[in-house]
Amino acid sequence: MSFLTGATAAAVDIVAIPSTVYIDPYMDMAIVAIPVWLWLLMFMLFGIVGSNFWWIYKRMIMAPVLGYLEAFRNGQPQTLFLGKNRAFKIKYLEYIDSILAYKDVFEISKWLVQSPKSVGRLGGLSTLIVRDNYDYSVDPVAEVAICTLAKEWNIYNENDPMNNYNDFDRLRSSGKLETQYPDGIIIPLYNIYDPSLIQKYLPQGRSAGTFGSHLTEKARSMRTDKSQEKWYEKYVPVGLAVSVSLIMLILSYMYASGGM
Amino acid sequence: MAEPLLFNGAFNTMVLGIPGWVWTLLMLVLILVFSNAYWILMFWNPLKPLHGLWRANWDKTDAALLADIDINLKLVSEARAKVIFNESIEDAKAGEKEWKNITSGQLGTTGTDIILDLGKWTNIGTTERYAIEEATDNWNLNNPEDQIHSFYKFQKYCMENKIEVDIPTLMAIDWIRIESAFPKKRNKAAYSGYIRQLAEKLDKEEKSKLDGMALWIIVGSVIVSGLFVLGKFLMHKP
Repeated sequence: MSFLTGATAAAVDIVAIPSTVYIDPYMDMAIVAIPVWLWLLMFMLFGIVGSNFWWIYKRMIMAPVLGYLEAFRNGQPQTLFLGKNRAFKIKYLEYIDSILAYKDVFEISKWLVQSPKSVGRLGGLSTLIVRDNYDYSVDPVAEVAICTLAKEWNIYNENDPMNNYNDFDRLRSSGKLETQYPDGIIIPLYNIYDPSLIQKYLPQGRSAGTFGSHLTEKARSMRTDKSQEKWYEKYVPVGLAVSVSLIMLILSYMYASGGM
Repeated sequence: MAEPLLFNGAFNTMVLGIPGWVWTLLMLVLILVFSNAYWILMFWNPLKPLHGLWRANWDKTDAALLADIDINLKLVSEARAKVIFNESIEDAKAGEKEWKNITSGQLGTTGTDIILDLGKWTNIGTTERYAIEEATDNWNLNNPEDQIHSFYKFQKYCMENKIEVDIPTLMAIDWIRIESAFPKKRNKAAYSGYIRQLAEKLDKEEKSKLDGMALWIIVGSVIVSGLFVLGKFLMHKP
């Protein structure tokens, strides 16, 4: 392609140009073989592409917290998800009847929101914290308390240590803990919360996936228990569609093959 | 020899008395303005409470989720959540020498701590904060080789009775809260309502699948029948 190089209005006048074409003395002046207006257009185009790349980059950085936007738009609580792999994410999960679940029924993990104290706030939205390998919502304050208690208990009770959830449960049921700490568990006011510390004291085999599949299984069996609509009622739309389609196909085939 | 106009003069053609390149420029300006407005209004502004993540990433530091006793969370910079004085995280680390690194996890590429600030020590301008600053200042003057710059070390020294301060540094968490978070038994009644709702949802899912199938059968047969008829016309010999 040839450019209009160095052309001015005077120079262009020599060339026969259609009357609908306008040549501006300044904007059509060529700089490095490109007219000024094309520089402007290219500058704008780079601006559009550059600014959108910048926003896409920002979106990538903010990707782990984008669930906040979804929850914000739907007026629902957001969920801070603590992975066992130490990856945190803010997700938008549905909250129905004390259960947190993915909107998609094929994502089976579910959590029970047992403690109202585990519900916090972030950015004006109700916020729940969950982890993948436990089926209750997380109360970090209670977790820090248990870890602090275990550490202290094991110093003074070497013969009856608290090493796992079963020990904790046994000591709690025996009333020993509440007798020794009647006002509750004393914890420092400033804590850097390490989600991995509580793993030792979580009940085994209680992952969100196991709980979710248990609930789904129960729900599926409940569907067969309740009085369902008759099979022919259920398949009426498909049956009608198949019949109409067959008639349509037979008629059109007959017409096409000259049978009509 | 005269050179042809660029793009055959398409951008120099007058449309409604204005050259084509002006219209194009106007269109590009509008795209630039509207695309940026979209990003700002639909993405960036609603995410305002979480901008701390972007700032931490930009400053190449960690972020922190500060939580109070009621789990009211704030996403802030590492310095805001960990450093007592008004200084950068690098200066605080250099001053304290043996900086304790406990990273709770990652938010994307940014290391993020969840910090339980039950006494609201990180709030600037509070009585507690002044008391901490004063006590730490005194400690640092008398112990230049073992300075305190972080709340973590301050808390640790308070628990070891190395430093004295007139504010509470411990808190009792009652058994009711712990019992709620870790109940002895799981109450089936707590989720039986949900199971029923899920059963309904699964039913609807299946029904909507069957309805969708019916629609696709009709659409498919209309297309095939149309092709038969079209074939008849195309192959018709007068």
